[in-house]
Amino acid sequence: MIELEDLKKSWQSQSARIDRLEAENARLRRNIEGSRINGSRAKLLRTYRVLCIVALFMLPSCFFSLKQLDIPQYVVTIFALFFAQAALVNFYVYMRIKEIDLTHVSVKEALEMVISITKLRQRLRIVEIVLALPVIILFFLSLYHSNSYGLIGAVVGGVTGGIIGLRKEFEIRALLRSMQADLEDLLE
Amino acid sequence: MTDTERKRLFDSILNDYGNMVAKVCYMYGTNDEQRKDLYQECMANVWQGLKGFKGESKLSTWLYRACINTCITCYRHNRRHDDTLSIDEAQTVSQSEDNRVQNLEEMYRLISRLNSIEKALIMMWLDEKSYDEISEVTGMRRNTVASRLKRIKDKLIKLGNS
Repeated sequence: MIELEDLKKSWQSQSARIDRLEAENARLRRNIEGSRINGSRAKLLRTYRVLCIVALFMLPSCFFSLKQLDIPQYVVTIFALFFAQAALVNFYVYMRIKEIDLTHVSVKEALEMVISITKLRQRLRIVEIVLALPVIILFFLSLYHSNSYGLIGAVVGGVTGGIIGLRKEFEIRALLRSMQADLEDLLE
Repeated sequence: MTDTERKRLFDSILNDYGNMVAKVCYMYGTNDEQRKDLYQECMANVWQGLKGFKGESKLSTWLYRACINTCITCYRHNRRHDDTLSIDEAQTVSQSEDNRVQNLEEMYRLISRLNSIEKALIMMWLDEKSYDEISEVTGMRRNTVASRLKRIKDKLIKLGNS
């Protein structure tokens, strides 16, 4: 027969493995000194910052490097427009993620916030793929006419990227489902 | 809060509340690696969040909120429900008392069968947090907290007796 008071005593009396905790805490203390404590939010912010910078950098690069590949002017323009919107979108997502602070909101608010941003990222990814498709096709066609090795490289890169992206997408969907179930449970 | 104050407070959190944070992570992680990742993630968020901490709520309540929010929203590989949590894997300091170890094993077995929100509620109840504090952390109304906790306790008793 289970007694809830016994459970309470067990919970309060238990301690995490002290040796492991001390080793972990020592590592965290060292990281503070070097200002190297970064969670997944910081990593995500860094990713979007890099994506934004890369997109901005690609803008002038389109005109310089693609011209050397003998790619038509209209393809170069479409590329430039694509990277301009990518920079804007990534900057917007970066700002939204920056707003997240899991320490000052309730569990309900945190779930709502994270679900909303995860969905936004998913939708924007679909929009990006749709916008990228004509750009990629045009790029492949141009390479087909001018550089066959470049085309092979681009196809291999595209397929690899697609597989990695698809796997990541399934993982994000699983997390989203789990968070939505938690939120529904909270609102019950 | 100055940088020195923030470092000092973070250091005292590691010393005084590290065990509490680890217990929460143990409940949400399904293996050692996940628990370690969650602990690091929670502490990273605590460190960032300390910038804006003004002491409006009790430090332990604030930490509970930070840790539960992190554990529930954090992505981890193999987020499957695991009801075979081993006591050896999860903790413990002294295993000298058989009875105590048995109680702990039973507690882990039962709590690991609850969903994420139920775990959060029962953990805070086990730590003798008031309904108001639980309500503040979860965003649920006080009455809802009371009725949900009643249901969870009934569920635990039923699970324990089955």
